[in-house]
Amino acid sequence: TMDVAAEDSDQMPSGFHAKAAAKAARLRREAAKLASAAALESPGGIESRPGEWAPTQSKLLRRVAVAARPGHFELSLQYGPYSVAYDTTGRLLALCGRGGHVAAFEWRQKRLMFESQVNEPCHALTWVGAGSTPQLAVAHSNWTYIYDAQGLELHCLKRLHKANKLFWLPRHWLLAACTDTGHLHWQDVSTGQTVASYCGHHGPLRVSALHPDSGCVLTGQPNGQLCIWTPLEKRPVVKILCCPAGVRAVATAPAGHAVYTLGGDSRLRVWDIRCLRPLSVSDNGADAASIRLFDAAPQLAVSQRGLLACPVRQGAALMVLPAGGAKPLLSHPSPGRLSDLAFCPWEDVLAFGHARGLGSVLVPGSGEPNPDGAVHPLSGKRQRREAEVRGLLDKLPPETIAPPAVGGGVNAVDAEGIEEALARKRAAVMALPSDEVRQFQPRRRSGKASGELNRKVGERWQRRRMELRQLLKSKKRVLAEMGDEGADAAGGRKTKKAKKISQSGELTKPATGTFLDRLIPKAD
Amino acid sequence: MKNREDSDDDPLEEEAEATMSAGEEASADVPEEDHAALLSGLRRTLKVDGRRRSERRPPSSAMDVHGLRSAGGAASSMRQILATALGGQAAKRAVGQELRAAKRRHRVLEAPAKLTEAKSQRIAAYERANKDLGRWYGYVERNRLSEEVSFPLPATGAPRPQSVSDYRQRARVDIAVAMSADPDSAKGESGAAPTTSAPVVDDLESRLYRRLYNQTAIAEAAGLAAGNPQQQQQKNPNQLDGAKVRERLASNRRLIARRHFLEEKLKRQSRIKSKSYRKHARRAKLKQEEAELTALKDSDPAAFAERMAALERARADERISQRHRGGSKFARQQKLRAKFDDAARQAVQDMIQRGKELTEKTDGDANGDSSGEDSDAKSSGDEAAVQLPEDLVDDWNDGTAEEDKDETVPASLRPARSTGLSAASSTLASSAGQKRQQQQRSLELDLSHMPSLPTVDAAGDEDGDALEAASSRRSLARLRTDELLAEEVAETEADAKADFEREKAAVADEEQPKDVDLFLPGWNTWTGPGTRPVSEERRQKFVIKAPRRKRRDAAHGHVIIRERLGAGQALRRHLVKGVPFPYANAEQFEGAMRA
Repeated sequence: TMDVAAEDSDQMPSGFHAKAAAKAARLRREAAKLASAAALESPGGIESRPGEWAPTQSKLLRRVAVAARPGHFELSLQYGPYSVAYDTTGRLLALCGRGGHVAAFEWRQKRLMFESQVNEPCHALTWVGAGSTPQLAVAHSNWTYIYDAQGLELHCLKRLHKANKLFWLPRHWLLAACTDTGHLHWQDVSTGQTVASYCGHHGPLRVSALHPDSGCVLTGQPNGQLCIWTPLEKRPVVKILCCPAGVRAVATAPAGHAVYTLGGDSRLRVWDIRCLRPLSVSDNGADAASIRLFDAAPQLAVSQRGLLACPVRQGAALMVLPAGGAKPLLSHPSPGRLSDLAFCPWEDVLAFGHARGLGSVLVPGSGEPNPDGAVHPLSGKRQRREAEVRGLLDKLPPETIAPPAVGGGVNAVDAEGIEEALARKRAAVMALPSDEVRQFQPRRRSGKASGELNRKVGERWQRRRMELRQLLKSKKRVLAEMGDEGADAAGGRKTKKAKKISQSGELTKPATGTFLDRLIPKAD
Repeated sequence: MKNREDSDDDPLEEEAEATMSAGEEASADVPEEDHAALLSGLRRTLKVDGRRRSERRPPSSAMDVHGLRSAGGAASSMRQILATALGGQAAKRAVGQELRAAKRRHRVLEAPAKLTEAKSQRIAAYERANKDLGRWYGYVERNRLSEEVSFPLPATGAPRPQSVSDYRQRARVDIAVAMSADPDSAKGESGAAPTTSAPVVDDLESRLYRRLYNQTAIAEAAGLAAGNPQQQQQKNPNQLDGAKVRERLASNRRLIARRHFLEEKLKRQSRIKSKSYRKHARRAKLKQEEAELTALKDSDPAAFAERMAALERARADERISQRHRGGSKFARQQKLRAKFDDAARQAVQDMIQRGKELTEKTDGDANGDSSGEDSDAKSSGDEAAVQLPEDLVDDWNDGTAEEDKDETVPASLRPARSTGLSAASSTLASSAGQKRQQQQRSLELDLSHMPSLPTVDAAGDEDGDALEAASSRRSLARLRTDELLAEEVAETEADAKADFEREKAAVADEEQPKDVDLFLPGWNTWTGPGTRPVSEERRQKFVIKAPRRKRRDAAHGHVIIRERLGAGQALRRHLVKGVPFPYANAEQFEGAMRA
C-alpha cells in the first residue's frame, strides 16, 4: 500500500511528504531484494499422489536431513496422561502429567533442564516470559505455579484456581487461564497484577484456545456457541453459534485468521475470525462446509503453516490434515490414548502427550521455515536477553486485545480522535466574533468636533478591525486546509458557513449580515 | 234521562237520588208524590234555594273502590239527615234501619295487612341500610377527593365486624330486634305463647342467616327473644348435650393422633437407608400387589382390567424410553403382569435383550473370536472384513470407485489387512454421510488411501493390530448408533438455535438505547372526579425517541457482537492521535502497519 501511495505523489499532502514516502519505498524495495538474495528456505511438505500411501515415520526419517531427525522420538513415562508445551522459540519442550510429573528439556539436544514430582495432578502448562529466563506455568489440581528453568517454584498463583488451560500472551505479557470453575483470568506476568477475572456462567471451561494475533481467548460451550473473550469485557464480546451440537474442541492458527472447531456431531468446521463466517474446506476441488471426523477425540492443534493435527480412533492415533483440505497427509499410532498435541514453532515437528508418555513426530511442511521474530530457535543468548527487554518495553496494554471482527487493533489510527480534534479546532476558528466586537459603535464626540472620532476611540476601532481581519484570515486558512469533507463534518451553523467556501478556499458570499462584510475580499 | 238532567240542577235532589240508588229495595215502594213532598219539605227545612250552585266542586281524590263511599264530605251528613228525617215516622223506620245496617255493613275496608306490613318493613330496612351506608359517605368522598391515598386505608370510622363471631353476634341481635318489633308476636292476639321462631323469622333475611350460620345461632336468638331457652333446646334436635360433645371431641382427637402416628411411621421408614430393608420392603409390596391383583381378578373384574390396562400403558411408555433395564420397577411390574398375560413375558424378554444389545461394550474385548475374525479378514484379500449389507457396498462403490480406478496400485495388491479395514470404515463413513449430503454439504474423510497405522515403533505394533480389529467390529455397531446419534444431534441443534436467537434478541434489546420519557411520573395514572386522562398523543410528545442503532451482527444470523463502548474508549488512549508522517491518510498508515 505504501509503495503505491508513494509513487502516486498527487495523493501526498506536499512534495516533502512525497519525497519521504519515495525514500521509504526505495528502502523497502532494497530490503526485499536483499531478502530474496538471501535465498530463504522454502517450506517442505508431503506431496501425496493418488494411490500412494502417506509416508510413515520410518520412511520419512530415511528421506529427511540429518538435522531434522532429532524431531522424532518417543518417551515412555509412567505418570500420564501428559500435556506438552513448546516455548515461543521452539527450543524448549515442557511436559506435565496427571501423575504429578513436571519436566522441561531442550528437545533437539535432549538436554534435561529439570524434572520434578509435584505430588499433585497437573492439568495444563505453558511457557511464560520470553528470552533468556524462560519460566514455566503449570496448572496443578488447585493452584497454578510458576517454575523457573531449574524447576524452582517461583510463584503460586492462587487466583488461577483449577485451571484447565493456560495461555501466554507474549505481546501483552499476560497469562490467561480457563478454569474448571468456569472462570477466565488474565494475570499480568510483568507486574503480577490480576487484569481481569470473569465468570463464564456456562460450567467448566474445558474447550478453549488463544487467538495469538489479537490476544483474544476463545471458549467453546456445550450449547454450541463459540465465545470470544477480552479482558475488558465481563461478557464475551462475540458469540458464534458454530456447532449447534456442542463444541468439543477449538484451535486457532498461530498466524492468520482461521479458527477450527470440532462439534459434537464430529464435524470439523473452519471459521474466519475477521468476518465470523465459515470457510469452506476443499479436497480435490470440492468445497464443503465441514469435514466429518469419525472417532475424533476432542483435541486439535494447528501448525504455523496451517496444518491441522487431530486424534482419531478415539485417541489411539493422530492424523494430520493439510491446510484447508480434507485428505490426510499422514497418520501415526499412539502408544497410549492421546491427551495433548502441540506443533513446534519454526520446526516441522509435532509433539503429542498420551497416557503412556510423550511422542514427537516429523510433519514436513508444518513449521514456518523463515523465522521473522526477534526470538527463534537459532537466536543466541544475547539476542534472547535483548528480546526480553524489548518485549517489556513494547508491552501492549490489555485494552489492545480486541477481536478483529469488532475492529480496533493497535495499528489503527484514532480516526474518531482526529475528527474530534478537527471539530474542536474548527469550532474555535469558525466562532463568530463576540457580541462586544460586533456591536461596537465608536462614540462620536459631542460639541464642536462632532463628526470626528475621538483619537483613543479611533485606535480601539482600528484594533478591532485588525482582530477581525486576523480572525477571518485564520478562518480562511483552516477552511482551505479542511476542504469540503471537513466542512461537512462540522455541525449546525458552522456547516452552513463552511458551505459558502468555494473549492479554492475563498469566501464567495458574505459570511455575516453585519458591517463585517466589508472586510471580506471580493470574489474576483 | 230528562228527569236526571233536571234534577242535576238541584244538589239536594242529587244527593237524595244517590241515597236512593244505594238503598234500592228500600226506596222501591216510595210513591212519586211522597217523594216530591219529601223534597219540598227538605228544601224548606234546609232553606236551600233552587238556584244552580255556581262553585265547582273539586274532584274527589279518594277512589271509591267498593262503591260504598260517596264522593264529597257531605255524604255522611246527608245520611244522617235522611235518617233523622225518616226516623220520626214509623213507616220509614225500616228504611232508616236499612240505612244504618248498610252503613255498618259496608264499612270501608282497610288495606290488607300483609301489604302494609311488607311495605313498612321494606321502608324500615331501607332506612336502616341507608343509615348504615350513610356512615361511609364521608370516607368515600374524602378518599375520592384526596390527592393521594395509601393502602391499606386507616381503620377509622364505623366499627367493622372483625370476625365471624362478630357477625354472629350481630345477627342474633338483629333477629331479636326483628322479633320484638314483629306485630303479631308483640300483640299475641292468638293467645298462644310465641314458642317457635320458625314462622316468625321466616323472611328472606333470616333464611340467609340460617344458611350462613348454623342453626344454633338462630335457635339461640329465638330463645333469647322468647325468653325460654329450655323449651328451645328441646325443640332443636341439632343441639348436642355436653356428653355427646365431649365424646365427639375425643374421637376426633383419636383420629388426629392416629394419623400423626402413621405419618411419623412413614417418615421414619423413608429415612431408612438399609438396602436389605428396601429389598424386603420392595418384595413385600410386590407380594401385596400380587395378592391384591389375584383377589381383584375374582372379586372385581372391572378393576382388575383397569389395573392390567395401566400395566400395559407402562409397557408402552417404557418402549418409548431408551432405558430397557432389567431390574427396573417397570420390569417387576411386567413380571407381575406376566402371571396373567403370556405376551407380557415375551415383552419383558425382548426388552432385556434390547437393553443388552444397546449397552454392549463397543471395544473388541467382548467378542471371544476376535483373532479368528482377524485372520479371516487377512485371508479374504480385498474383500471387506465385515459383512456389509448389499446397498451399503453399492453406495461405497458409487461414491469412491472413480478414485480407485485411477490408482496405480491395483486393489488386489494392497496389503490385505489394511485395505479391508479401511474400506469397511470408510464405506460406513461415506454411506452415513451421503444420507445427509442433501441438507448440508459435507466431505467425508476419505481414508481409503491411508495405510492403516503403519508400524513404526515396535512397541506400538501389537496395539495397532488390536486397534484395527476393534475398529472393524465396531463399525456395525456404529452404523446402528449413528442414526440414534443423528436424531439426538438434530434435536440439540434445534434447541441450541432457538436459545441462541433468544439470546441475540435479548442482547439487542439490552444494548438499544432506551427512549426517555419526560412525562412526570405518576401523572396520567390516577383518575378521580374532575380529572381526565391525558391523551396518548399529547403524552407521546414528552417522549424523546432514542436513535435506532444498526447492529454489527444484524447481517449474521449466527453471531452476537456486543457493542463495546467502554472498551473502545479505553483503546483510543493507545492509538495514534494523528496520521503520522509521511502518510497521507489513515488507510495508508494502517495498510503499512498491516504489511
